[in-house]
Parts: sequence; structure tokens; C-alpha cells
Amino acid sequence: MLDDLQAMPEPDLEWAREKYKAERDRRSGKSNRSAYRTPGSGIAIDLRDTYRPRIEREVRNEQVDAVIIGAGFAGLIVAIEMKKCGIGPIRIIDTAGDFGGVWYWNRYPGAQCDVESYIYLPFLEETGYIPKEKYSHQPEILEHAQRLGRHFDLYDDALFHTGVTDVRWSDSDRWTVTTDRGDTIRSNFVVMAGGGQDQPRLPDLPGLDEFSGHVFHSCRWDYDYSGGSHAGDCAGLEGKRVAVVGTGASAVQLVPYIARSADHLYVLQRTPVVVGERLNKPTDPAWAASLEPGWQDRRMLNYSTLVLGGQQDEDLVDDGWTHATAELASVYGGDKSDSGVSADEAAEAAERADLRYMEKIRARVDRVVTKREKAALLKPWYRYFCKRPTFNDLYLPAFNRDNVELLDVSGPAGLERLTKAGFVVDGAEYPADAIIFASGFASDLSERKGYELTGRGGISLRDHWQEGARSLHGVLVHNFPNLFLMGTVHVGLTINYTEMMMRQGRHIARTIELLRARGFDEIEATAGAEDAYVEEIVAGREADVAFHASCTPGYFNNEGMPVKRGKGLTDTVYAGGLFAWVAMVTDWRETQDFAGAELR
Amino acid sequence: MPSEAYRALVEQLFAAPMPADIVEMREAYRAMGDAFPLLADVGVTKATLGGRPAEWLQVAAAPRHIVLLVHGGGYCIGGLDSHRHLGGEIARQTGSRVAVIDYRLAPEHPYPAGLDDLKAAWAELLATAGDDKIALVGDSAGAGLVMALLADLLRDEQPLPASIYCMSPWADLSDTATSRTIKREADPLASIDQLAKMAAHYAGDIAVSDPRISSAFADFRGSPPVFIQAGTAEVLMDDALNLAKSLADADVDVDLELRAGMIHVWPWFFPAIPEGAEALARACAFLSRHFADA
Repeated sequence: MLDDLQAMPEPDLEWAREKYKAERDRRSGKSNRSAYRTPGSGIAIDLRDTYRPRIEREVRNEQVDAVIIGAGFAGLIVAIEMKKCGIGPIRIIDTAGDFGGVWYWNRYPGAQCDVESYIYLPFLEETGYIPKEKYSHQPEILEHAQRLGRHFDLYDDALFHTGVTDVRWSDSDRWTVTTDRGDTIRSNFVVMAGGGQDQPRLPDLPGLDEFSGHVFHSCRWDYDYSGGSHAGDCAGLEGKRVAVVGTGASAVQLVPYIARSADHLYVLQRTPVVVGERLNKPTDPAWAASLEPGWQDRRMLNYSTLVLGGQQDEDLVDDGWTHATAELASVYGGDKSDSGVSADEAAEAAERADLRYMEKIRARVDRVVTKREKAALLKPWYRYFCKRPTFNDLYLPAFNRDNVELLDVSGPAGLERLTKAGFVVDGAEYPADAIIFASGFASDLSERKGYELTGRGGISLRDHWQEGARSLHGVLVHNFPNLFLMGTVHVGLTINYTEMMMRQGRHIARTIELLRARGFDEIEATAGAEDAYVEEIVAGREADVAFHASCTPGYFNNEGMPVKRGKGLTDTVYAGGLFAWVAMVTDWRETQDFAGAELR
Repeated sequence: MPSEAYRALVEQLFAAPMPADIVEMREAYRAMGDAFPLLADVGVTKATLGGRPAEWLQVAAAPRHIVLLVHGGGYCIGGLDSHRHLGGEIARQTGSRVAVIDYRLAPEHPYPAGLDDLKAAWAELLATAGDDKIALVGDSAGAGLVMALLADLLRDEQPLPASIYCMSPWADLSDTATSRTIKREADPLASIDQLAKMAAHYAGDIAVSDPRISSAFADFRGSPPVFIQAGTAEVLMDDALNLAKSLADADVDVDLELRAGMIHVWPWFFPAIPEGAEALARACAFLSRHFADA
């Protein structure tokens, strides 16, 4: 779809700004974060694990070297890196019944990674596995998580179907982790490796209890009800009127499959999503056989360099992400300081590049969707990275089916409530047998965690983070010795989440290894170093706030209210991107003798 | 076979004819057009064109072409609200920027006020369009105005539009054409009495058969291609035929589309009737083709 970008006449920037503003204003003011329910704020649907039976086991009362909370790719990666550094014994704890994290919970029909599987699935060379497709579907990704568990001998270290309830520091015992199984585990180190896509979020709708049909969230897919499998064929939906609430990354993947099975499908849309081409294909065995040792690290590096605005001789992954970021490079990465253009000129050039790319995205909607009313509603009017972009070749064509009805809930009334028989949009009641919420995940850190964490001197992480996250490098926290964070807060990002986890996991394992090599057992960020780092983070987000203020509401911009002060001010990322962050922490660790951390 | 929706529309129009009073008619027409939903992807920008209020309707951020849409309404009614949905759809299907202008209406402003506004808007568009190509579109009296403008541009050897699209033109303000009588019972929209009144309002002191008023009889030698649509259920059917004949007499490429049973300016009702949507799609294809050729 990048074909004739050059042939496009110069887009009208002023017109687009007005149109984007009108679209944002129409959606603003109605919804905000308090309009959602999460597990932490009394979610009203069943979140139990129906995928795996809970197995009774002995209560653990033990001392280990490291507890890793979370058994998704972050937890797996840091566990593997720790083992490589001789750190152990370790315990990996997760509420899920197996490894996999996001891929354990999100099993909806069509679930698929949207970063290329050859770089998204970690340790392919170590395990000798080659994914079957360029973009793996969920069953293969979950299998790979299990493969990592087996290959690196981690199953004996894991406590599944176990929820951490309390994590507490004492100067004598270091960390004590207690669980909902009655376990008491003392540990030298704790790693918070919980991700962001397992705790569902629902719009806070009146009538959720009143609805007599079936309700579930996409991350707790109810195959007992729907029938079928990840590959679709949901016979249980035949003859049924089904509503999917939300049009984000999950809905884009599942809607085409539900459309084929349900008698009638309502798709409830607040803001249309960016849908780029997917072009998935089976892995070419000849290509797989040609790969030279070290290929996966090289491919990851090539990809992240490109998506962060850097230069490479070739584009190995060559997909929607690298194409988009190449078009938009001048906005989202790369160093423009020596290019001789002013900041304003660079910003306008970036805006123009974005507009041209978005015109292509919108033109694709017109090309694919034949019903003009549907096509008009499916066009996204905002800048490319305002919301999480998606890539899919089945979603837009699904709207050409007569049994798929697109309901615009962007108006002031929107999706008002559920009733006994269905739901109400803008005053009109629609009957439904099932309502599936593909409404995303709890994004707030405190909502996500689900356990109390108490550091030195009895201070809770909740209190320490009253005004937003505080850390050194997004890894260490003052008052919380030997606690390591993993995730997306205060760290440098790339598009490939598992690559970030690889970098963070290696950094954490190597930090512990070096700490011990120098004869210490404890590490803690000093108050001063943490303050300085948080200041750097806040300064780095100014451009980010301005950008997100121009966007339609969503979880990227705190539902249209990108915070400038007070709570949440610091809940953001390291502005320099992944490689600058890696350079910073490597330097800090290897040559600066952990400056800003107190070693004991 | 007309669609169910079309039959229902005609029935409804016969059951509830437009009010006779000009002021009430203006409001009814405005409300009818305004009631058609504007599709979610149409951007509306207020503007001034030729000194008159106007709106730009646009769907693509990078339009290549311009359409000047001149609304109908018997030279006495109609405006931005009555034609926003139509302009939005033309913008959508042709990838153009569509300008709708709120030209001055009779009886407050008889000839040449409305035509002067249109000329001023055209001149302003030409001056600012750069490399963009411009097409003229009008329905009913709007089409009459468009053809009057075209005749003047040809006479004065001015730059010309890429093409012209006329929906059910009212281009003969006299009442002598045979369709005025033989289609009388079939036409739910235009009453002969109303047409006569409106013609008198617009023409003022000039004879209604003067080509400046009745552009169907103007000289169109050298005109770019013209697409004319008319239905056989309208008293103004002969205006389309006469206009087509004048164009053909002048060796102009003219596509005349006559549809059995269709009422006056049925493409205007395109959101409600498939016949309207299909007719408008054919017209937009015509406009797009001639943008590409021009």
C-alpha cells in the first residue's frame, strides 16, 4: 500500500488539522478512566481460568534467591538470564495455569502476534525452533512459551494458579512473598515481571447485571459457549446475535472469525483503528535452512534500529511496522539535531509525512469496504501513532458481510447501558444473545499489580508512587532494595516487546551477577538518583504530551487527558528509545560502578 | 422495476407536497436536506466564495480536483443545508474538494444577482485553484445557472471547467414545453403554478424565454463534455432534452441519461433510494473520467 505515495498530491495540512480536531472533540469529555471497570475496581464478569484445571499442591515455605512475579515472556526471559548467570534457586509465580502470560489468557479466535514471529518469539536459536508463519497465531506462541519452560528447565521453579498477595521487605530476611495458596517464600531478590494485557477492562455500563444473555471478555474467551477453537468455526454462535464492544487490536483479530459464525454481529466502535496490510505467509523452509548462527539477534537489531528511525543497509523484516516507521521516521525517532532544519520545520515535515501515510490507510478502507456508510465510519482521523496501529487482512473485508453491522458509539450518548435483552446505543435498543468485550486492559500500574508491595521502613509502593511511578532507569526503586521492575515504565521502547524484555532481563541478571562479584548482596537506588532520573523522564515527555493532546481519546493518552502535573505525571517512558536506554544502563552497570545506587 | 424505497418515497412526496409559501418552502427544503446524514468521513469547512457564504466538503486530505456545486430550488430556495449531503458524497466519490455556495435568491434578488454570485465564485476558484481542475455541478435551477455561466464563459472566451454535470436542469423558464402538461400527474415535486411564480421572481424585468434566463437555448459551441440526467416523471423533462439538443447542435460531447419513472433530481435522495445512489455513482464516474482527461 506504499505504492503510489509519491504520486499523491500534497495533502492539505490545515484541513486535516481541523478534521482531526473535530473528530477528537466529538469523542472528548464523555469518557475518562473512571468510566472503566477493572479487577481492581470491581469488575462484574467472571475472570476465572477456564483453560486449565487448578491442581492442588503442597504449601511452600521456603527460601530462594529470586522470586519472579509473572510467567509470561518477561518472567521467562529474566528467569533464563538468571539461570545463565548462576542465580538461583528461583521461583516464578503466576495466576495463570502455565507459562505464556498474555498468550495464556488471550485465546480468542484469530489471536496472533503482530510483530514478526522470527523476532517476537525469543530464544529461537537456543531452542532450534522456527515458527510456522511470519506472524504466529496464539497456539504456536503459547507452545513456544512452554517450550522455553521445558528447554530451560523452568517448570520445577514455577508456581502456577498462584496469586501473589503480599511482598514485604525486612532488613533481616530481605523479601517475603506470600500467596493466595498460603505460601511464604523468602527471597533475596524480587522481579516484577507482570505485563499489561491480562487484566481486562470494561466500560462501566449500567445494566451489566440485568443482561440475561452471555457476557465475557476477549481475554477470557468462553469456548464452552462459543464452540470452535482459535481457528474459528464457533458453532455455538450459530443462530445468535453477538455484539463485540471495542475495535482495538483484539477486536481486529477476532471480528472476522465471529462474523463467519454468528447469525448477526454488531461491532460497537468509538474510534476506528488503523488497519495496515498484514500479508502473513508460511515460513519458507529454504529460507529457514539458510539462517546463519546469530541470525535472530541480528534480525532483532536490524528491526529495532529501523523502527527507531535509524539506518540499515536492508530491511530484513520488511513489513507494515518497518514501512510505517520509515515513512514517519522524522517524527518518532532518530537524531535530527544536526540536520540543519529548525524544530518547527521538522515538526511540520513530520506532520505531512504522517498525513500522507494516513491518507493511504484511509484509502485502503475505501478500496476494501464496499458499503460507503461503513467505509466512512471505519476511517481513522488522527495521527498514526495516536492509537496502537494494527495489521490485518480479514478485518475490513468482514464489514462487507451483510450480517455484520457497525454501530458508531462515538456520540455523546454512545453505548448507554445493557438491558435484559440486549444493549442501548443512542436511545435505540438492540437485542443480543451474547456481548463480548474486546475493550482492552487495565493500563494503570496500580490497577494491574494486584498485590501489596512494602519496602524498607514499611513504605508501600502505592504511597511511594502516589504522584506516579518513581525509579532509577525503570529498574530500581528507592526504599525497595533488590526489587527489579520490568515493563514499559521509565525504560526505552521499541516495537518488539520481547526484545525489550530480553534487554531488561539481561540487565537485571547481569546487575545481580556484578553486584555479587564485587562482594555485595543488596542494591537500592538512592533518593537523589531516583529524583534526578524522574526529572529526566518528565522533561523528556513534553513533546509526547503535546502530540497526545492532539489525539482522539484512548489508553495512549489517558483517555484524551495527557497529564501535565499531579498523579500520573511520571508514568511514562524514557524518551531516547531502546538503544539509548541500553547504552545508559550498560555504562552505569559496567563502567560507572552503579552510580546512584547504594550497595550493601 | 423501481425499488420499494423509491415507491415509498414517491408516495410520501405525493402525500405531503411542499408548502406554497416561499419562506415555508425554504425551511422545508433546508430541513429535508439537513435530515440526510452526512457520512462520518466528510469534513466540512466554512468559507466565503465570491463574497457569499460557502462550504467546502472534503473527504481526502489530498484532493486533486474541485467541484463547484450549485444548488437547486427554483432560484428562490435552497442553500448550504439542503445540499451538504450531496456535496459530501460527490467529494467522497470523486476525491475532490466540493464547494457549495449560498448564492443570492429571488424574489429578494432577481436576475442577475444569483448568476453574478456564481461568476464571482468561479473567478475566485480559478484564481486560487492552481493546477487543480474544476468541474461544475448543478441540480434543477442550479443546473440552469451553471449552464448560464458556461454560456457566458464561452462567449467571453474564458477558461472553462473540466466537465459539467446537470441533474434535472431547469433551463427553460417558459411554460411551453409539452412535458409541462403530459408529466403533470406523474411529478410529485414541481407544480406548474409554482414554477411560473418562481420563474417570474427570478426573471424580474427580462422575458423568461431570454437565453440569459432560459439557458437551454444558449450557444454552447466549444463547451467541455456535459452529463445530463432527467427522469420521465418530471414536468421539467423537456428542459433536459432541449439542453441536450442545444449542446448537440453545437457539436458538444453530451451524455443524456433519461430514466423511466424517475422524479425531479432523484439523485438528491441518494441516501434513501438505490436509484439515486446508482445515478450519482454514474455521474461521479463521469466527473472523475473527465478530470483524468482534462
